[in-house]
Amino acid sequence: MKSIKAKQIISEYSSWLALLALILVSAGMNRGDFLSFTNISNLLRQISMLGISAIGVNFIVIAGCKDLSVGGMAAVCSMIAAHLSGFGLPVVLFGGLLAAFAMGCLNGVLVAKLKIMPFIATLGTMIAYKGIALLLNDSKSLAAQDGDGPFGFLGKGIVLGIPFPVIVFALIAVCGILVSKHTRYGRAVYAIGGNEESAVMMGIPVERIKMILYIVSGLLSGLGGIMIASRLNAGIPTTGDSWDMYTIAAVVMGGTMIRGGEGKISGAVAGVLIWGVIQNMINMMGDVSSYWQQIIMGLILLAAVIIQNTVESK
Amino acid sequence: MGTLTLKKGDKEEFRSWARKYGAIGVFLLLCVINMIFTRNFLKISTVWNVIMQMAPTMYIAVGMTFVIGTAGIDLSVGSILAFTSITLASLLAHGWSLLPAILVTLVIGAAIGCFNGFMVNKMRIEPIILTIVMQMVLRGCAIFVSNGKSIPIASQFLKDIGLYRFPGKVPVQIIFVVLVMVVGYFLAQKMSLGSYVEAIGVNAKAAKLTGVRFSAVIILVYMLSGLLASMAGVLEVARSGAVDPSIIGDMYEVDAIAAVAIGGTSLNGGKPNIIGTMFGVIIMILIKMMINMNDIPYELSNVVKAFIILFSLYIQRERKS
Repeated sequence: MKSIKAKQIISEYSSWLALLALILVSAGMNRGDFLSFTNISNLLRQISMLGISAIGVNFIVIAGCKDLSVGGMAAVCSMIAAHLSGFGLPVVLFGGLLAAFAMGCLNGVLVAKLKIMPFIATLGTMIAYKGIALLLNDSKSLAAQDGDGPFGFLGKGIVLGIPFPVIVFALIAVCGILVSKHTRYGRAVYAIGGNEESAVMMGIPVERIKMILYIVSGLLSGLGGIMIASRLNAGIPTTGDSWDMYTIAAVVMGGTMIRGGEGKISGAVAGVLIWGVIQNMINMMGDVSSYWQQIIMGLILLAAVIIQNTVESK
Repeated sequence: MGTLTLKKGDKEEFRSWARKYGAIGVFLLLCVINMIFTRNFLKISTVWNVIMQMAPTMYIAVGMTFVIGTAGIDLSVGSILAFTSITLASLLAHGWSLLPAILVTLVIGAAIGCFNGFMVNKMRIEPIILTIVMQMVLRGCAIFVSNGKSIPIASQFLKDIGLYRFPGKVPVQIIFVVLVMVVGYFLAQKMSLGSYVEAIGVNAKAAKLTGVRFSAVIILVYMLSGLLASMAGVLEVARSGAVDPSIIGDMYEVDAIAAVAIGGTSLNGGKPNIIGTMFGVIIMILIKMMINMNDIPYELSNVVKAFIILFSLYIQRERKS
């Protein structure tokens, strides 16, 4: 009885409580700098791209799979966006998302049709996509054109005081939450993650749904990459480095079980916000090496997975 | 219907053939391609170059073969290499003499591997998640320890060994390559470790029930991987004479995994195939050389390696459902 309660609390509220605690600590440490409008707005803008990608990853993790290639897909799309930026926004979106669709498709085929273990398959494609991103401009970053036009608006624009990427992130998050809760598709994802064999027996089209999941993850990560290119006004081949770990960390911190079947899309939002606040704290400390960010995030992810495992086994 | 089943049988036969001889086939293919397109390839010095370059990768790949045999994976090896070699460099810079410094380095490598094994086994964290985290954390630690700066090796003796060549220009690395091959082959084929690893990789539950000491084997395998990675670090440091914490060992895990995959050890777990891994490592080095010597962008080699991994996975997929 007690353990059920603990499990409920952990999967329901702990990520938001952790977020609240972190915000309080950060606000206390930085004496109001943290709560300034500019800082919050910058923080939200920074996390939006990762957040968009994390929504797709969250669906995949709930279905019991992994997608490690999100960073690679974001990098390829950011390079393509920079290449195409001269032709205007529609061409950028079309080209970038087409590439993202193709890469997501490849992941989907490998996992759903060829039945290769998801993490190794996407590890392979991650390496390939990162390599392709580097090949797209001789390992160098590429300045984008039309930085002040519609293309630039994608990453730098502000609507009613709110950064445009944040609005996109919020919309996608709301869509994700609705799909996960109120559609057959969403329920099917949970069923696959809970027990794939019985999902097959229930007549759920597992292959097709996994295919869709990977394509959606590709498209969302690609969109994230394009927005980063727009915000930095350049395509950078190392865009999305460590996104493989950060997205999984966000999803797991949000209370989604790493083994699949349980979790919430809103958790990814909490997880990404936690990630953003930690990053922000590290940045405010000034001279602390940015590698601390990786170390701290890694340890937090480990702690979250260990807590999940102990709660689960009780 | 009859023709259909026949076709399926053919396909299956091709798969099992490709699993067994794929590495040797690709090796021969690469040799032929290089003979035609790469200048100066047909020289004995090419062989020595391959041996010199393959030593660190070979050490990592042998450890990886056992880890993958248990249906695990170790993505942290490149960062273990970086962290231990930066430790070695700083110990030497602080005036330690060579032997204790190397010993401490190897102990640290084995301890990190032990930790990995413990987390995988006792905490039941998926190997890929754990070792991705360790990859980042250890890389961060390596950069932190050295303040992001490259550290030169203070021991002239170590550098001399690393560049020593026997008469006839045979590089000293040949000893280490043969050594790790023999030990790896012995562990996989002649000792019970190989069959325990296979038992766990093919069916972990059954292995536990039949009395395989599950925890011990898992921890041992990851420890071996960490130890071999730190040895690879020592070899790498001896050859290059300096340690750059953000570059050294980067993407080595990719080479190792690709080598193991193409060498015929199933990535779903199974019998560790050390000889296959050796051919796999040589193939990785040949790809690198081919790309270096023909002015092809370096990044392409990673794309090629990734597709080698994916293709091997495709061939191996029928093995276990």
